[in-house]
Amino acid sequence: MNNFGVVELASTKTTNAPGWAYVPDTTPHLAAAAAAASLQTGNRKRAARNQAANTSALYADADARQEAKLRREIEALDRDNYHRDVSIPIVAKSTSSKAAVKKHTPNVRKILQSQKTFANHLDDFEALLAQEKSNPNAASSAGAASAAVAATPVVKQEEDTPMTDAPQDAPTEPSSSTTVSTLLTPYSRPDYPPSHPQDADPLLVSRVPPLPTDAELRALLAAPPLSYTEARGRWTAEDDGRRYPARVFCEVCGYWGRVRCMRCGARVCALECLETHREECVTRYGL
Amino acid sequence: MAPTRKSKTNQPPSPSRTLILDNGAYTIKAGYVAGDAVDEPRVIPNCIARDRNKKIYIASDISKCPDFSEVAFRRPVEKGFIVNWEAEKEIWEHEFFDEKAPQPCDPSETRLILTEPSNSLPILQTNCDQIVFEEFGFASYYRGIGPSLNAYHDVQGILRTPRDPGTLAQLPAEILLLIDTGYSHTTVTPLLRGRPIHPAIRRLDVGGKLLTNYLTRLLSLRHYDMRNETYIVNEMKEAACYVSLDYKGDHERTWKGTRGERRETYLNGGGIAKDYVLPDFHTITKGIIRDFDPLRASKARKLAGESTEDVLTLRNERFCVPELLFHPSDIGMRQPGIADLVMQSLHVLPVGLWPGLLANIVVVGGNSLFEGFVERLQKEIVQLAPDECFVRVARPVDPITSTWLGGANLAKHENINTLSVAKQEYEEFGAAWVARKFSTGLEL
Ligand SMILES: [Zn+2]
Ligand SMILES: [Zn+2]
Repeated sequence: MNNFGVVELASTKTTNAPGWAYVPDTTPHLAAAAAAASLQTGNRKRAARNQAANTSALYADADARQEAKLRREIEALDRDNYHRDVSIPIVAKSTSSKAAVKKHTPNVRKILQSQKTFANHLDDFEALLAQEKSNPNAASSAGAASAAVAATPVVKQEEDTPMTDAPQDAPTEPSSSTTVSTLLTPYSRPDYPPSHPQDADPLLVSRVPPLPTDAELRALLAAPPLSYTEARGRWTAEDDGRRYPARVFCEVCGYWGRVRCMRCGARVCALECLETHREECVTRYGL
Repeated sequence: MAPTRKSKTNQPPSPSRTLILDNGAYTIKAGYVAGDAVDEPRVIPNCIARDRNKKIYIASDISKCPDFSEVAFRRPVEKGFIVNWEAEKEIWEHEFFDEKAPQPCDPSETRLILTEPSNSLPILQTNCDQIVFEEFGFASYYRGIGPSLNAYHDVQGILRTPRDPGTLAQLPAEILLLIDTGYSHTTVTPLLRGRPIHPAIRRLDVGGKLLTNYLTRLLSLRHYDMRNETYIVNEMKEAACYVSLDYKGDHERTWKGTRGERRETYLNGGGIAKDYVLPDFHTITKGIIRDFDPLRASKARKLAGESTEDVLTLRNERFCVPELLFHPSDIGMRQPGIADLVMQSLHVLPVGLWPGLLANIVVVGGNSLFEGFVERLQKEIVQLAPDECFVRVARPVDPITSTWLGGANLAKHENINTLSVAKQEYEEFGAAWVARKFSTGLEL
């Protein structure tokens, strides 16, 4: 107990601090993950194993596991009922009801009996896409809808999508002044707040980029939808770690997590919350 | 090509009545348009609920539930899409088709306008179309993405653009950047003349459900175990949470301080702390939010035995929860916040469209009701947008029913006759043809 949180490890980097230390933000989500984990009753063993990973030598390993834990925790936040798997059956209607007598078409019967979740459907869809990609000649057996999707040019969402990466290679060079868009009225700054005297300054006016041509607009509007996965906003390489500097919070009170528990890696704000956390840390993981 | 024109000639006349369903994961917005008469839409919980006594409530029946503690929900809509038709059919029948349905409908004489989120899966769309025609037998039907319907509004009115009184709004709006932040997720959709620019649609997987669950987690760690109290926590979130315009400052004003110390702002609440009285479903049926009372604890001790109120003091929970819309990385999600999502969407488009889109941003959906949401979003987009672009963000009077009202305007617009499909066409040309027609939408 007197050496709280510090476990003998093969690493020479082990700091014999009295259980806490001010640390740089190298493992951003430990606090969130640890906080979340303490609500996950099923994960005590894993958590107990994780606590061994509290020296910098093992951070990489810990990070991988924290990452997995984090993913599970985000998934938990996605449930309709936070804490339970709920199965609420549909009660059969009394036979006097008109609907109960009604016969379903085979399509409808199949749909109504399906117990697939969205994740199941998404997996099916992506498997189909992969299959059609690897075997493009096979006529789609899954119907025109999926075939249409397979034919969809995949709009690349890689890092740094250039702004000219509009579908169908629509040129986005400024259109010549003779091709005036008939589809959109040229942008004029709404008269709010009141226009500035310099608004008419030709130098400023010229900085408003010209509208795309009608052909470009038509091409844009005719482009097919992205897939569910493609439409998800994601960090670009440039964003990673820069635009979103990790903000770490105190697991106990939610203020900035400036102190790390050397035992489990959890973040806390200061001594008082560390003490609160230690009680948890001890009772939860023993020692 | 689809034999649209030919089939139109032997079509029966369009039904005179349209049912508009904005079929959200949390609530359905439903109502009729007949001629120029537009219903006030009903907002119907899209769920089957079970209370602690195992009593089942279908959709709007939940208002009869006397005690919402430990209520569990089954929701047919997942990630915004109708996935479980067994449950959705039960709910639709209860609300529209049963003998005692509150909004009775004869599908054979009704056109249906049904919303879906963008970027759906083909199988879910096909399932939907088959149910609509083969099970319910609607005479006419249009399925389209919810955000697009918002173009059928007087968008310049929403944005308060000064103009001559009596100016008639052009429908659909010429240019609009629509942000829909609902229960399942938040999407950014650029629209030109009511048509979505598909490749630029972006989604953030943060919505009201995640926020409620996150608040549940925080409260359960810090106060009481609320993990079975989704309903109560959701009410608390709606009443107490706000989007911070000074995130760091608000943290300072709600922090207790280091050991022993109690900061002044902590003791007096710092203008942020609120007391929330939990419902007990005997004397209090709905939670009550009150200004923080520093003396409450000692008062309660004096009244020991009399006072049975359960009170939570909410501090940084008030603003850390909606913050996830702007900083999903706070819980480790590797997704950009809303403002960056807007910029990611714009970066797919020619720069010539940016000024128009940035000056015409409209936000709808329940999360837009958080105090501070519009201001914060505007502030963040201004920081990210090119300096010469003028940024305007506005929220319609009722961001919950805005999509539905747009649908009602579409029902009265001539475009609906081009967009919708008749039952005979479905029978003649099949589900794949219908799916293609809906995805093609209006040609310019
Ligand atoms: Zn703390
Ligand atoms: Zn610890």
